[in-house]
Amino acid sequence: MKLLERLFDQTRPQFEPGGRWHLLRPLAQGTEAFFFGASERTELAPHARDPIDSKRFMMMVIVALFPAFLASVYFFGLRIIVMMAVSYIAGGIVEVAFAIIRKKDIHEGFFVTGFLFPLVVPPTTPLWIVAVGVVFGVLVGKEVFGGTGRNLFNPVLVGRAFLAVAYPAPLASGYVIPGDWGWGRLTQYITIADTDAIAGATPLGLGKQGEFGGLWDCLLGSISGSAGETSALAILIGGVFLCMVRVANWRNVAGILGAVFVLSAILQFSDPSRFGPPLWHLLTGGLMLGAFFMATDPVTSPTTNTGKWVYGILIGVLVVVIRNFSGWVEGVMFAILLGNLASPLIDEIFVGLRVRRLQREG
Amino acid sequence: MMSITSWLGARRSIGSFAGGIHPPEEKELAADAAIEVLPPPREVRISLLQHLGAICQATVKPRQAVNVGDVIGNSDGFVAAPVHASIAGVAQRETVATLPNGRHVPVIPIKAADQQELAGDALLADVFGGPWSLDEAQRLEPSDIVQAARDGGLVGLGGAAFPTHVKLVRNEKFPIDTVIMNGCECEPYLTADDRVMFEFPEPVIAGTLLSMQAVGAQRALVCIEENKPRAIESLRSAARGTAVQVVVLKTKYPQGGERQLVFAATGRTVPGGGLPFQVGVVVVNVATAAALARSALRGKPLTHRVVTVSGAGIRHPKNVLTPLGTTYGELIRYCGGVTGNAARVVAGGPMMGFTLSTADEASDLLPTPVTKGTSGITVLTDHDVQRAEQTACIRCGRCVEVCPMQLVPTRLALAARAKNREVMQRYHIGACIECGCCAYTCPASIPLVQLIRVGKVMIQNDGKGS
Repeated sequence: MKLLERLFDQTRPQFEPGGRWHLLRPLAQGTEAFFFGASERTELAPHARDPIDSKRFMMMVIVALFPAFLASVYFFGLRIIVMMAVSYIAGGIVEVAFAIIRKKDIHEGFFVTGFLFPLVVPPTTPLWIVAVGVVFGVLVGKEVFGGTGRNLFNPVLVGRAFLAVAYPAPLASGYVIPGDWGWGRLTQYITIADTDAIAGATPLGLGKQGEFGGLWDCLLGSISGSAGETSALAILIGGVFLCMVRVANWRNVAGILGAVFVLSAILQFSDPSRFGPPLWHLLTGGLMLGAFFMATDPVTSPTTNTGKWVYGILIGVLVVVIRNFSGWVEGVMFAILLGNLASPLIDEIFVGLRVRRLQREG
Repeated sequence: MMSITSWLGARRSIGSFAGGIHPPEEKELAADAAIEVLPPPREVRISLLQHLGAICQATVKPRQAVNVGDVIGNSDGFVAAPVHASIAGVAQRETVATLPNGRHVPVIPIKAADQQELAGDALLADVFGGPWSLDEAQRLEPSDIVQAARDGGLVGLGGAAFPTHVKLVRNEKFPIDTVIMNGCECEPYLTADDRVMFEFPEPVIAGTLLSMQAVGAQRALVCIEENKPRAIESLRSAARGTAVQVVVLKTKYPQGGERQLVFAATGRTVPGGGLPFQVGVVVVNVATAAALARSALRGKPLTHRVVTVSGAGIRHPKNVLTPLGTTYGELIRYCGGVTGNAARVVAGGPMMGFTLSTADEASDLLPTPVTKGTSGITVLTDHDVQRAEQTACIRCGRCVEVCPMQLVPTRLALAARAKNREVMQRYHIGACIECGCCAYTCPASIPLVQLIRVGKVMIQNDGKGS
């Protein structure tokens, strides 16, 4: 660490305005901040600060995603790690390029986007498609709006939706049969060429035909699906942690899961042969991952607590509607994107109500 | 069903308010330090402005001999309070000092005489020691109590320094039924009020009864956060047999904010930007109550106050009974000086206090004078002064969640930054109490409360211009 510190101290002048590498300043600062934290300080009251800052905020998300990541490597093989590397490199280039153009520092938000993206695509997605998806997500989902904090849609889902439309075939057929218990697929590298390992349809796809599989497999994750979405248990462990450290707001999650549970319970009661059981709906597809890690993205969800409830319930309702009454098998992605779209409006309504109450009180 | 209602009842019995935060309390540093008396300083610098309101004019001439309690500055204004000599000695030529908030004010230095009438334990006994006649407190005429508050130079000792007699005057339009004694002391580090309540509960109760008598209230609630069990115990036994109730409130910042306190204790909502009298309540700080008792029952004005000197950056944190006008440097020297890693001297507590200096070897020479509103001096270390880099707002809504005034701090701050007056006013910027909860909690380290302050000043100045 001492060595690194000296390296940063010695090279810093090169990156300052006027230095030889001044264009690359964001890159250098980002790296330094990653190792040592920022070097600026608060001057004015309050002198005490909550130890949470944006950096730690984002690091918490990655820590919370780790169980799901490990589960995906266990069930679908080492290729997930390579996908993750591709995602970071491709997305990182866009992020750094924009930081340099804007002469701003790299924002931590990207670390989450890069980590989350490979977890929402099938395990055999060609690497170049992963790269295209994450680049599209960062570029169109975030940078064109002005960068972190200004984007309307969740960048991960923008990239994922783009792939679903642009490359439907590899995304619909790239699912892998999860590894057997024991060592799972920890030593394997599964590609689309390993036809033995390729799954025909995900549990949600089978559900469309009225086959509702076992709940235990859905809970543990030994089902086919996108890389990081199958193990509800691993996601729950990380997700509950994230809510407890108050990085994710539990109201978003509770709104979604509650609405899905209640609505699908009503549907199943009306026609059990056609509609899946409520627990099965909770545990399959991308619902858990979406509810805990994407619908809780603070930037694209409403600001007020009441708004967060409304937003969650809206997404939950949309998930049930899309899953049961549309041509699409899975509805979480579109539901959250539509929720993102509604969130400025929700904010206007509930911030407006808050202001009205202030007026009433004088 | 029964159990649910009783559970709800139990929850309601600890009063609280919506929003707020739980910063590290850090009270243990000075909470066990019994109040000590500062040895008489060689010189004090008495500010002619120690309250919210009109500035005082000097009433003494240079080289005039003064005794403790002599009036040395007064004003004709209604919202004003006289200032008194806090040591015996000789008045010097008027000069100027800078208060922690940056305001330059005239001060009258007093060179101490060699002999002081009261010092050490005798002084402590004179300020707080018994006996205090609670019967006499309930027999005084309301107008006499108000006059004693005015003549004694009493102001809110919690920090805002609003002249006390203004609050105690009866108003036909707004009858007062409840007196609230503010013993919350919700700022981290500060323990001065805690020590006064614990060590000297009788003058606090006497001052409470005097306040009730003055405004004609039927009840008085002494409100203390639950993190001060000794003070609660001590005041409960002192209040036995009187109309004064001790109310325990949840430990939460800013529980001591007037509006938050009134709501937590009575369930009444003070209008935004309004004052407690509008809902029949008057709020008085506990240390002010003790000073009121001394003024009304002993005829002695406010010349001393207890100041907490604390923080990891001070060698020996203490609660010190200090003559007004003592310099910060003198107090820091008395508490052993600053430590090697001290980084900042703050006037008041860390949530709302003003940065006074970056601490160094010269901290014990700080010339800033203690005023009536000086509740503490906090010396923070390198470790406390956290590194924070401002990043983009991620719209997380934490500031909205914690705002005790139910405002939308992120929008106010953005509007202030953009100088958008229309938006600032639409979102009620004037209601902000500047408690700093929003800036405390912001993960992007945006100085929300500072931006809002700037916005408020902008709008106030507009009003003056037109």
